[in-house]
Amino acid sequence: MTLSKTLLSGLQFLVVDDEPDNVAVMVTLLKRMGAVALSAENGQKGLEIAKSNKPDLILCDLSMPIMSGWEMLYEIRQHHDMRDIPVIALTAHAMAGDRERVLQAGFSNYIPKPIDIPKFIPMFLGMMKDIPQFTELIQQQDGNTR
Amino acid sequence: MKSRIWQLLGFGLIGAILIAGTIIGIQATNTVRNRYRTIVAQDAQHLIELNVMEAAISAVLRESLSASVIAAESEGESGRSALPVNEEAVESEAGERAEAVEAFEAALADYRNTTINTETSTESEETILAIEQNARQIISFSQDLIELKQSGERGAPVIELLEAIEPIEGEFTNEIQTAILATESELATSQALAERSAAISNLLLTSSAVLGLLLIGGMQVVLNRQENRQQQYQAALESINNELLESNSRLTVAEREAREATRMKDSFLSVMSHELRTPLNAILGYQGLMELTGELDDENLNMVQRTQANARRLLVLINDVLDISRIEAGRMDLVPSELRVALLVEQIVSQMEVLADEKNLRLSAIIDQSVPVMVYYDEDALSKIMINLISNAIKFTEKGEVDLRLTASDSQLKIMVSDTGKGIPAHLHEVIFERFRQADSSTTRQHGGSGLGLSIVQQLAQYMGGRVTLQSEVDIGSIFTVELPLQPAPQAENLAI
Repeated sequence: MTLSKTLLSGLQFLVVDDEPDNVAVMVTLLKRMGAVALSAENGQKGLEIAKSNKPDLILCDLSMPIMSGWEMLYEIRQHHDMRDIPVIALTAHAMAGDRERVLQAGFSNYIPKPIDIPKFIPMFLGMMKDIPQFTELIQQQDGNTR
Repeated sequence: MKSRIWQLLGFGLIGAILIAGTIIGIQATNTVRNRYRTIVAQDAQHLIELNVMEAAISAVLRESLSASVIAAESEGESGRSALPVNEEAVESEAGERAEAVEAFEAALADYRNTTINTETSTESEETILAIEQNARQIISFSQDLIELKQSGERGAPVIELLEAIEPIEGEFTNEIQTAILATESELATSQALAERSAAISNLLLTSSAVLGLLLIGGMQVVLNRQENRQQQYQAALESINNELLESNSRLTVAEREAREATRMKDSFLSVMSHELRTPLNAILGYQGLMELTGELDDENLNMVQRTQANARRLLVLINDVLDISRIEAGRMDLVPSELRVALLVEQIVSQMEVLADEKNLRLSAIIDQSVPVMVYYDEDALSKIMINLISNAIKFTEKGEVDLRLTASDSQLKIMVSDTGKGIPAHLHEVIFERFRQADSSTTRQHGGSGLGLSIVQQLAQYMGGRVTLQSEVDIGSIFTVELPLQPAPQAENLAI
């Protein structure tokens, strides 16, 4: 599998996770697809970066110290200039009912850990295509790749 | 309880009979006693009247004789007396005599009156008649005597009269004495009888009182015994009740503990799941990124891919262990939803095709026309059954094909997965559903997998009210069949195919 280095160029992502390895994998992957990837180690820091940088999309862990992903989502949805930012939950909470709880809380989508990159990339791009602001971009990139 | 009522009823019945008997007895003896009382009173009355009569007649004689005797004596045999008659004395005697006669008549009338009212023997009637006749003769003679005295007659006529009276007087005295004696003895007898009847009556009264007391006592004993029994029952009930309350509270505690244990287990599983996935995310992530670089030589790429394969196997194992723990704990909540069978099967086949392709196996799926277009099952559970059966079939088949076939009857949905693998000997048909068991344990490494797939299928099938069966022939292949209760979707969509 080869990856287009310009697939997500021009987009800015924020990865929020308290596990450095998880952050590293995701940031590396996003950068290889041409995106700008910011990161934060908990919800509070994630919220600060989100406020200042207004990323195009946030990938967010749920269980984190200081501020959880749930709380961070709540805060983001309270701010009128951030409330439209898509937030995808990327979590190791993969028991029955977790997906439903996540979507219920207002997350744009749900990806259970561990991510298996060959499966993750098409799934992630599929999710992005479903988010209105990325639909055109992803289709365009799809066209370019083919 | 029943015998107690019968005992009481028995006592009551016997008591009623005895009381009725004694009442009748007391009444009878009372009648007898009253009769004797009347007779005694009457006898006493007779006795008085007889004595009055005797006294009256002797008074008559005394008053009439006194003057006459003197007259007779003074005259001697000659006739008229020379002595003057004391007229005053004679008049006084005549008055006394008349009063005595009246007293006699009254006593006789009274005697007759009482005898008329009561039964009297003819004997006593005759006796009283004789007494009366003699008395009247005496009265009559005494009248003559008085008249003689008033006329001043003396001597022979008086003596004649006196001589005539004498035997009559003797007869009268005899008769009335006999009557008095007879009445006295009769009175004594009547009194004795009256006393006896009174005694009998008293005895009856006493005995009935004693009987009544005994009956009351007996009933009291029965009632007491019943009350004791009731108290015993009450005590027994109370102790049972206490025991129930105790065991209830114990159960509540046990239930709370069990719930707590389940909650802890759930919580443990949830934490375990989270904690195992987190490092696996880093492993699979870094391996994936390394593979993606495209800069690895074949040897290194192979090592990366082997690492990835093992990491994936670990993930499958984690998922299977969590699944089976949840099913076992009864925490597998089945949430049925309307499922389009064709779509579900297509998704599963496309997912499993990758594995089949790796081994150059043909994977096909057939949905029989008997299967409703829309069914109503828990999607996750139904998918897991099919995925586990297909991946198991692919794992143990080296060449040929794996087929998924769905059919339905009126009450059952059948999911059949057949393969052209090496088959399973009959003696291992049971064993292969056990956890971590494969037909040939030496092949575990070769075939991979957690060894939990078939166990999950079996548990899920049972959890959903169905079962799993196996037909297999060594070197020919195996057919796993899962039978589930048919649950067509409740909507009318099934009509429009």
